[in-house]
Amino acid sequence: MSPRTLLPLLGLPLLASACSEYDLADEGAWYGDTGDYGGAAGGDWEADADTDADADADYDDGYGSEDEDSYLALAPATTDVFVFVANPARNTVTRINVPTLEVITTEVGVDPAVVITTEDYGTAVTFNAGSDDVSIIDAQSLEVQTVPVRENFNQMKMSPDGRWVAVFHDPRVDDVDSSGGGAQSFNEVSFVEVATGEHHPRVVGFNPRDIQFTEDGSLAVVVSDAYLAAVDLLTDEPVVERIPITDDLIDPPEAEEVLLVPDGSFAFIRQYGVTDLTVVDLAARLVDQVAVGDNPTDLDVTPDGTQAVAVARGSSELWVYDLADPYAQPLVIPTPEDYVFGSVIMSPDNSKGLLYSTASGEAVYAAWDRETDVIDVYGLVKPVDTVGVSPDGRVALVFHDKSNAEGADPEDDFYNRYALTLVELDDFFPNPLLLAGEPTAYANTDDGEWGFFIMDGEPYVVALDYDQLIDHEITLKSDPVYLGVLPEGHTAYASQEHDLGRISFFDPDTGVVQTITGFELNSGIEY
Amino acid sequence: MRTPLLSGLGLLLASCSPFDNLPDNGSHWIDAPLWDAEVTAATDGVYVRLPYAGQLVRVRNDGRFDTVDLKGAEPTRLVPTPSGEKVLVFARWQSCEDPEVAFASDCDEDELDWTSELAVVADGIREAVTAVPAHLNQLDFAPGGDVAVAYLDYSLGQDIEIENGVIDLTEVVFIDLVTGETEAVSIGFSPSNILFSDDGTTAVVMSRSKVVVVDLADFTVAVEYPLTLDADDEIDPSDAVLTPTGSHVLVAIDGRDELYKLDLDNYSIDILSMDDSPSDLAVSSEADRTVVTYRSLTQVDLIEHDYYSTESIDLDDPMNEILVTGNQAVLYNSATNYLDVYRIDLDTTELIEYRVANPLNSLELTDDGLYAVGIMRPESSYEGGLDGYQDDRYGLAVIGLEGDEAVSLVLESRPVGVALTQPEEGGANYALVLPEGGEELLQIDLVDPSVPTIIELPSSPVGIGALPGGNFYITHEAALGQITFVDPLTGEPTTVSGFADVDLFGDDSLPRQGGGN
Repeated sequence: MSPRTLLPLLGLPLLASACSEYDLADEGAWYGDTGDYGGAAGGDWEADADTDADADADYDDGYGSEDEDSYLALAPATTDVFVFVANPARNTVTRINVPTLEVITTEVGVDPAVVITTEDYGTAVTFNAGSDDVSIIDAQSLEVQTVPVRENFNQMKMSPDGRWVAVFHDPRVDDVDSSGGGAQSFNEVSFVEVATGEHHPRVVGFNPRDIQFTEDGSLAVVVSDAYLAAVDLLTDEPVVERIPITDDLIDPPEAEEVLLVPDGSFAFIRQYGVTDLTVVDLAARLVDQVAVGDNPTDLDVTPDGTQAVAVARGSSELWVYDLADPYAQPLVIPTPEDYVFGSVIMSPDNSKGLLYSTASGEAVYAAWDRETDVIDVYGLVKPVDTVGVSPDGRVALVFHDKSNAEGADPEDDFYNRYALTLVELDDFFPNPLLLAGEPTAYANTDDGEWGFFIMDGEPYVVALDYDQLIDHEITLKSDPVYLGVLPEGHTAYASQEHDLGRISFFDPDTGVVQTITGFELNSGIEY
Repeated sequence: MRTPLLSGLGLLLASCSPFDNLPDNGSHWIDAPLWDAEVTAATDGVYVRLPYAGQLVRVRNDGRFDTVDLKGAEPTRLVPTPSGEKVLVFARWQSCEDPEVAFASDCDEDELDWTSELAVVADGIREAVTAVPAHLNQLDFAPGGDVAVAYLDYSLGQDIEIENGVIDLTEVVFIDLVTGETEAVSIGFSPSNILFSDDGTTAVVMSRSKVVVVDLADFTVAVEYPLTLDADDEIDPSDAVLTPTGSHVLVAIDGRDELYKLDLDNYSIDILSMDDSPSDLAVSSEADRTVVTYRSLTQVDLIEHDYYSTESIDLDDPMNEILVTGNQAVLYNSATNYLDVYRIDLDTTELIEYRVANPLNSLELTDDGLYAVGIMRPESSYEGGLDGYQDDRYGLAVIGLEGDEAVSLVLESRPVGVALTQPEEGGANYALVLPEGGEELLQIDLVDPSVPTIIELPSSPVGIGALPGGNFYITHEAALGQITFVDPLTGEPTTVSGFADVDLFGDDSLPRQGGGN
């Protein structure tokens, strides 16, 4: 998977409907009541517990993995007052005071690749890929503490409580220049305690694919192909327990997705081309499997946090699990067999699920009525690249890349063009929009009134009025790079290409665009 | 107001002296100008350099003149303070390393040295003197006039004098004109374009790739703003303005479609993208807007100072110069042959277009902002008849900014100078025009510009300027010095002559040899 195709899909705060892989603790959907997760291991219907990789691969339907990654590296991080923008070319981080537009830049390590702010808005942390360290920045004073970490990493995650950051090598992220020499390990994660700056390197398992934290930040789980590492973060130093999740430690199936129940009681692991989900009882340290149909390609939690939904693409089924008792008999809902559906995204109100496939090349999606479990299929102008839903669940955004459905008319306006279809979810009325370039990021206001997206090489932010399903184009001074929405408002911001840094703020209510350029120079101001 | 026209009079004086000590049978030729007609007007008179004698004289409009004692130093450049109550005199004096030598002609050439200083002169008396490097040839004044900044303006084209074998091209010198104390401050390469806050507490100095804020209380650098982070990137500010509250500086950069906005309160930088490289910037305090014009773009931009958003107004022709009075901006083009002049009401953005007959060399506003007066130059023309006649000649444009009327007068010859004045507050505005080659002064009442009053002059004029208080002075082509003072209300001229006949036959004694200054 190329990094280019990763960008459109991840890290957007508005993919709130728990569609995002490996992003459990960041998802709003996980903040609901999770109930009692203390189900007994090995329930009645426990399936065959087959973990043989070769056998499981037989269930590969040939379409390959669904692509719903939404990693957006270097996205600006926000607090209630500030926006922090990492500037890799200058080895700095810029703090923008949104109410006053005061801009101050401070030096961090080399090539800051990720910037995250703590939940209390008091601290920003950058991972500096070029110098193999993290910078812990006081949001108010901009004082910087530098903490060296292990080499060869490219990704950083922060625990929900902001106490820890974990730095690791994410194989899905385009490799940055490794500054390491000598031995390199692909089994490590560096845990850094934000308050103290203490560094705790830990070995977790080969090729850690993602890190999930419990909602209270007491536990981190690191999933790799063969192990799930449970990291106790309540002790003085992180204590790692590695739990094998497959019998085949030589050629394990590729772990594609992990869901961690918010209270840390269970973890679900989805592998490609299998017929089971691996369920780990983290309290009892028990690993078991539950049936999931053929070739599960997506696994999401419902917005209310009570159920997990797996899409068994190979057997055209949805499997719905009760998170209070993962081993209880799941609900199995057949999907229309004439079409391929490999991904699901839930509406925030939990009333609908949208089914689609990024792998099949079919220009359709399906709406799953959660109350009746009826699934209706709707046509689209092009195959699906990614899907999002507005925070209030009124509008679905279906992004399309340039690929065309089989047999598409070359004379069609959308042929070989990028597009976006806005779908009113009350009546499924679509408004397809032809796009000048490839969408690279989108974001929504918290109240679901407005959405925004940017395109590769196009100097615009496009604002989407979800009430009217109408788009408004806002011209920028240069090509946008990252996009976000300030908390508790309608103001979108887009950082843009400029040697000395540029970011624009757009308020759709007033139509006012404010642009700040050259804030990198602030690091050179002496007083 | 002063209109410098000539830097020196290349006059050959044949002086038939009656004095006994003259060589060569009583004849003595002086092949050098005795006085510099680029005079300096102050409230107490007109100060005139006598380069041959190395003296400074003050000429008053009552006919008297007197020599200012600079303690043997010869004046090289004069600058009046904004109030006109003082004149700053760049001066130098010669010395010989051998303390026993009294005359320059007795000193070995390699032991002769020049020392520069800056004298503060008021009411004809040297009040204070301070050491300022000789190469600093330009002065700017803080509001109130108590602090001046000396810096090198290389664009003046003067020779750079190197004292003591080395000069610092990054330094400016702040001068307390009350105490005479100075403080050299290193700013950055080629410092220029100095702005002062209205309250006189800070100065903002542009230099290559850097802008520095200086605290005028102690002349220390308060903040340094980089204009680039790339040492190979040379960024030369071409213009700058300070917003009315003093919170921001807008800096235009040579050849860049940008304005750097420096926040002086929060110490940050923003770069505003413009549609072209600005040719001129001006600020209206009344309208709280910055006006931006462009050399080749038919557009003027108005920048408000809250969000720094830009409002663009289309023009027929590009304008490269801006004059601001109150809430009005007047735009014209002095570089090319465009004939449009615009007035913009900066509150309403209403645009009024005027057209003058010939291209403008310059344009000035009267102090009350009611008129704009400009000198027009001849232009190449293929037109015949009256249009061609006017195209071939210099002219005077008078634009009434209240009545929105533009009058283009044809002048008999090239004007050597124009001065504007309003002798009585709220009274008539006058333009005084000196045609080249004549011996008359045209006094034009701007209410009725077509009917000038002609004032006869004693000899050909070479320059004209206004005195603080509303009177005019006119310098003449006269070897021994001649200045005519004119009261525009009465038209009465008073001519003072012969003030350059000072110390013509002095020796080459070294004035401060053995101490004393």
